[in-house]
Amino acid sequence: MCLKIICLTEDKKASLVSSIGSDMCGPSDDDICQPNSMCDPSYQHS
Amino acid sequence: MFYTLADSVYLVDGAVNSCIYDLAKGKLYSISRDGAILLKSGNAKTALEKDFFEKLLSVELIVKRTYSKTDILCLKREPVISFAWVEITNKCNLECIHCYENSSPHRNSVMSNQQFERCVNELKALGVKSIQVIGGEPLLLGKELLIPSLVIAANSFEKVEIFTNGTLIDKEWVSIFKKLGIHVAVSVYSYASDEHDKVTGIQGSHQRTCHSLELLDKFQVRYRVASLRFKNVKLGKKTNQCFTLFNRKRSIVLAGRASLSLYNKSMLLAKMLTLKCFSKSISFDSVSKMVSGHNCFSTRLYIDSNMDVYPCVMERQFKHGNLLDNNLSDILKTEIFDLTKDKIESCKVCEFRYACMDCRPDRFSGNLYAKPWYCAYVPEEGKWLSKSDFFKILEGLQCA
Repeated sequence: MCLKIICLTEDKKASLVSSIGSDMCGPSDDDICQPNSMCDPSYQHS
Repeated sequence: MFYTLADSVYLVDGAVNSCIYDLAKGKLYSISRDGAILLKSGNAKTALEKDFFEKLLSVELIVKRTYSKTDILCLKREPVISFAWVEITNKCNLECIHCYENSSPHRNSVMSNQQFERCVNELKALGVKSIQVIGGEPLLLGKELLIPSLVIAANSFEKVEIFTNGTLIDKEWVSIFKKLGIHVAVSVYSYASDEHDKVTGIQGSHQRTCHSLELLDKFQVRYRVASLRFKNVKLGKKTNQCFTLFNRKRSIVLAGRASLSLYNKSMLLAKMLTLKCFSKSISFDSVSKMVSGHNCFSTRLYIDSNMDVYPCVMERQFKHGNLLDNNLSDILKTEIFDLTKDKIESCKVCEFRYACMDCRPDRFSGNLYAKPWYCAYVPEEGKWLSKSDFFKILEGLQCA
């Protein structure tokens, strides 16, 4: 039995890992989850 | 003792693993299949299971009470269209290498003042609060044709933005934008003229755009700069005070003239959807929106210069209909508003589906419901692709 839970949201205090399981990889620092400045009407010039 | 999920905490199953969406605290958790099964049973028997529940209790994901199932679909709400793009012409004096509309000097469709007014009235009736007037290059219409339309728009919406390449803005335009309270968005691709002009295809375009930005800045018109990064186009060195470009990897959408050839390897890696993308907190509103419909298609509309209505400025296959002989409210298609991740290949069995944005127009031609090409997760196996496997799959998609 693999009882594993990982907090993905950046707040290390809340992270917890139980038991073992294969690590999930994924090094990237981009904001693909955000609309881009071309199509997002709320994107503000700064 | 039985345990169940706390209020505002939801379990979303994928094909292999699951996620816990804690909307009270804005946190997203990945949970193994065994963990999810145990959580649904609500009953810990062994020491290991009791320890697991204690950990979940410590972060307030569960409470001690009789199990009551609450499906995340209970967050579904009616879509509200709040924003629209109105393409006043598809003609452009530039011919950008990535243009989603294939705009160029050779295209010549123009929306008449009467047609524009009709769009405005239909959008107002639908409850739209803000619009963006877009092209092509809107200013190619000239002042006599464009100003009456801008006046109507300014008097009808809370916010009106005009999206321009900035090559045609003069003092008179600046004065009109200021007087009407119209916001301006300008596309700039580099600080260096020759680099920017590589994208627009027109020598001297950068110089004219920068001059326009100086005017907008000087006369305090509300403006913003929109930019993208391209393979072989350098950002250059900042030499002005009126705009700043960021080296963030704003992604090109594979629509119109854009193709993967505009990406370099690092841009592709930056676009790759990985576990790290879920490090930002999630909100009740965004998850509720994802559960209810498509993240963009359910809240936005695009009307092109032929009065065709689409759900997004970059979308051309999902189409609501045409406004020439119909009312807007009569042509809006429920299936486009209802296009949740539950209908998209692979996403429908992905536990992250309500925490991840989908750009539907950003796809290789053909399959409207294809898995996003930039996603490196394989929910069917509960595994993330390595970089090399991601590139192998991309090569296959390009060859297909």
